Amino acid sequence: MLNLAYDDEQQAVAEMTRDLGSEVLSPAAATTEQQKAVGDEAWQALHSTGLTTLLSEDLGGDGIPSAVTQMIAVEQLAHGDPQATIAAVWSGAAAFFVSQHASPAQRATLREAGIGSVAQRGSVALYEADGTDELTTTVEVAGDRVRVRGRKVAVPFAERANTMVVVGREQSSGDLVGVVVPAGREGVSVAPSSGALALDAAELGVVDLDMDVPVDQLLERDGFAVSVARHRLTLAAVQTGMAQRAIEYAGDYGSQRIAFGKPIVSFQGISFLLADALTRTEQARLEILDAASKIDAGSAAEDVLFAVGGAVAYASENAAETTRNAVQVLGGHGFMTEYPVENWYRIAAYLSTFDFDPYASAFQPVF
Amino acid sequence: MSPTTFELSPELEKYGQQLREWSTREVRSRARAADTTKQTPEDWEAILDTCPVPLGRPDKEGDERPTFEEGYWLAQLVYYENLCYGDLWALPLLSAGIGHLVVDEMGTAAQREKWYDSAMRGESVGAFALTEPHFGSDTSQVATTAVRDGDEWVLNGSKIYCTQGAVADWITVFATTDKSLGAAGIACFIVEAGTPGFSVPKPNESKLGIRNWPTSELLFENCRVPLENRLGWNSKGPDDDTGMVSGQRGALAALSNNRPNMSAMAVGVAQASIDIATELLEARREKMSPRRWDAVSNDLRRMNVALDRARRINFNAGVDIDTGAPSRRTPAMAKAYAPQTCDRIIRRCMQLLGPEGASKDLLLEKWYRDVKIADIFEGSSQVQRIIIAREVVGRLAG
Repeated sequence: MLNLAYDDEQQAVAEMTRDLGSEVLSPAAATTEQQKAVGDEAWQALHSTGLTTLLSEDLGGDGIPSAVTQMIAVEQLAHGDPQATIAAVWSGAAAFFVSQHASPAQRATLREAGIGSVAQRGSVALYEADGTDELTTTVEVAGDRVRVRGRKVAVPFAERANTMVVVGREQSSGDLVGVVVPAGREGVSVAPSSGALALDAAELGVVDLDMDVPVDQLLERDGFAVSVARHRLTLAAVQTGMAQRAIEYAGDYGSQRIAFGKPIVSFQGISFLLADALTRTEQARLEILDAASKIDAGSAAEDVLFAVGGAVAYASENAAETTRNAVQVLGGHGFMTEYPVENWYRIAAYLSTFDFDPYASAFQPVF
Repeated sequence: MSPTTFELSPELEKYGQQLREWSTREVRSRARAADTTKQTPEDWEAILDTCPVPLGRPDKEGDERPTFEEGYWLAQLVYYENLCYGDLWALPLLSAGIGHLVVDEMGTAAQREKWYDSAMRGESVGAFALTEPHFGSDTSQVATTAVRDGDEWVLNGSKIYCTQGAVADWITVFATTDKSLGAAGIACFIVEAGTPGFSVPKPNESKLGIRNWPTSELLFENCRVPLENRLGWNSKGPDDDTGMVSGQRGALAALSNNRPNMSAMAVGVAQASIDIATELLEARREKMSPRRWDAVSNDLRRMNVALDRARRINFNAGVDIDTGAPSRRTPAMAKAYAPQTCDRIIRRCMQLLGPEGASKDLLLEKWYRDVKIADIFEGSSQVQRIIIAREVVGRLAG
C-alpha cells in the first residue's frame, strides 16, 4: 500500500535535524565558508546525530538507520548548511561502508583505530571525471593480492582521511568492489589542489591510485553496489535541502523588498520562479524518498541504481537552477558575499558536476 | 540575390578574430590573478599596449577603433564578445560604461561636449550611480535628494553597486529634486571626483564574480555641484535647447542601448567555456564509451547552436540601435536570452568535464561566477520580459 507518512522516529529525526540545522549549522555557515573548515561545534553537533557518520553497534556506533531516515536527516541538515553537512556526510560514508561490508578481521582493526570517532575523517573515493556510470578504476584480484589502479576526483579529506575506501570495478566479473586503503597509503598519491568553485571545507582532492594490497583489504561484495547507490543518494538529499532553504530565503527577501509599490513577490515574474522551484524541489524530495524506500525494501540492485541515478540528476539540476533563481530574486544583493545565496549558487553547481549523467537530460537554452 | 546576410564584413570579422586571439593569449593569462587578488593587474596599460588592433582607449593616440560599415553599435557587439572571450577583467578599462550615454541622452550641447565627447575620446572615465540600498529595478524610488541653493545643487544620499565609482573622473548621480513628483522629480547630476562632500566608503564590494571590477558604494553629504552640472541645465537654469528628458527616462534609455553589449560579454565567456570543454573532452574521448561521447558531443552542438541564436538576436538589436529604431524591444530580447542561457552553458560545460571542470585550474568556475551579473545589472531578465511584453500589449503588462 502506498504510504508517504513518516513514522514516529522519522518525524522526530526530521524535527531534530531541522532544529540543529537552523540553530547550530546555519549560524556557523559563514564562518565555515571563510575558514574553509567546519568548526568544532558544528562538526560535533553533526557527528552527535549519528546520522552523518553511520556506524554499526559492534563498531561502537548507534547502528545503521534506514535509507529513508538517513535521507530525511541529510536533507534537513543541509537546509541549515549544505557545506558542513556534505563534509560530514562524506567523511562519515567510510564508516558506513565498513559497517556494512567489512570482514570481522577488518572490523577489529578499524575499531581499534577508532573508525567513526568524532576526531577522525573518513573518505570514499568514488567519483571520476566521467560520472559514476562508467567507472574506470580497476580492482583486480590475483591470488592473495589486489591491484587497484585508477584516478579519482573530488575525494573528500583526500590528504588526511584516517580511513579511505576506494570504489572500483573488477574487469572479470564487472562487479563494483570496495577496497579499504591500508595505513601508510602506499600507492596513493594526492595531487596538490588549487581549490574549486565551492566546498573548501570538504578538502576535496584528486587521487591517483596504483596500489598492490593484501586481498583482505577487499570489502564484501554482497550488496556493495546498493551501498554505493545509497552513498550517491546523499548528494541528492543535500542538493534538495539547500534548494528548499534557498526558496525560503528568496521568498522572505522578496516579501520585504518593495518595488513599484508592492513586495516584489507579488509580481508573477518573481512568484512563478519560486513556485516552479518549490514544485521541482518537492518532486526531487519524493524521487529521493522513492529511491531510498527501494533500498530499504531490498529491491533489485538494478532497480535501485535506476532510481538513484534519476534522483541524483533531477535533484542536482533543480538545485542549480533554484539557487540561481534565488540569486536572481535578490538581484544585486544576491551577488554579494554578505548574503548566503551566492554560496548556495556555487555549491549547487559544483555538486552538480560530481555525478553527472549526460544521458539524463539534454542542454536547454532559457527559451 | 537577396541582400540578407548574417555574415560580418571581412574587416569586422578580421578585427574580431585578431582581438580574440590577443585576448585569449594576454587577457586570459591574467584572469586568475585578477579574480584572486580582486585587483586589475598593475601593468594593465602595458598589457593592453600589446594588442595588435586598436582597442579604442580614448587617452591613447592612434588607438581609435576603426569604423566598420556595419555601424558603431553592431561593431561594439563584436568587440565585447571577442574581448571577453579571453576574460572580462579588462572590460572596465576599455568600456566607457554607461555614464556618458546618460549625458548623450539628457545633456545640453555644452554638457555633451564636456563629458560625453571626452569619454568617447577616452579622456575621461564616467560612471553611473542609480541603485540605492532599498531599490534596484524600481528606479522611481530614488531617495538621494538634490536641493537648489543659489547657484548650486546640494546632494545628500548614498548609492551602491556603482561600477567604477571609486576610479571614475565623474559620475552621473540620479537624485530627486521633488519627492512629491515621484519619477518625474528625478534629475541627473554630474559629480566630479574630488568634489567636497562626495566620498567612497566602500571602493569594492565582496562579490560572487567580476571581483576586480570596482563596484563602489558612494556617499553624498551636502555635496555641492554647480547648476550646470544638472543635465539639461546651464548656469542660469533649464536649457531650452534640450528635450527635457526626465532623469528616470534618461537612465533607462542609457541602460537600454548597452543591453546587447552585456549579452555579447556573456556570449564571449560562454563560447570560451564551450571551446575549452570541447578540447578537453575530445582529448579523453578514447576513454569514453561511444554512447557517452554521443551524448557529450550532442550537448556541445546544442550549446553552440544556442550561442548562435544569442548572436543573431544581439546583432538584430545592434542594427536597431544603429539605425535609430526607437524600440527597446530588441535590446531587451537580447538581454533576456543570452545571460541566463550562458550561465547554463558554462554550468553544463563544467558538468560534462566532471568536478575538475569546476576547479580553479580552469577558468570555467570563474566565468560561472562572473556571468551571473549579466542577468542582474542594467536590468534583470524579469525586467526585460516586462519591456518585451509591453511591446505586445502596452502598459497592461507588469
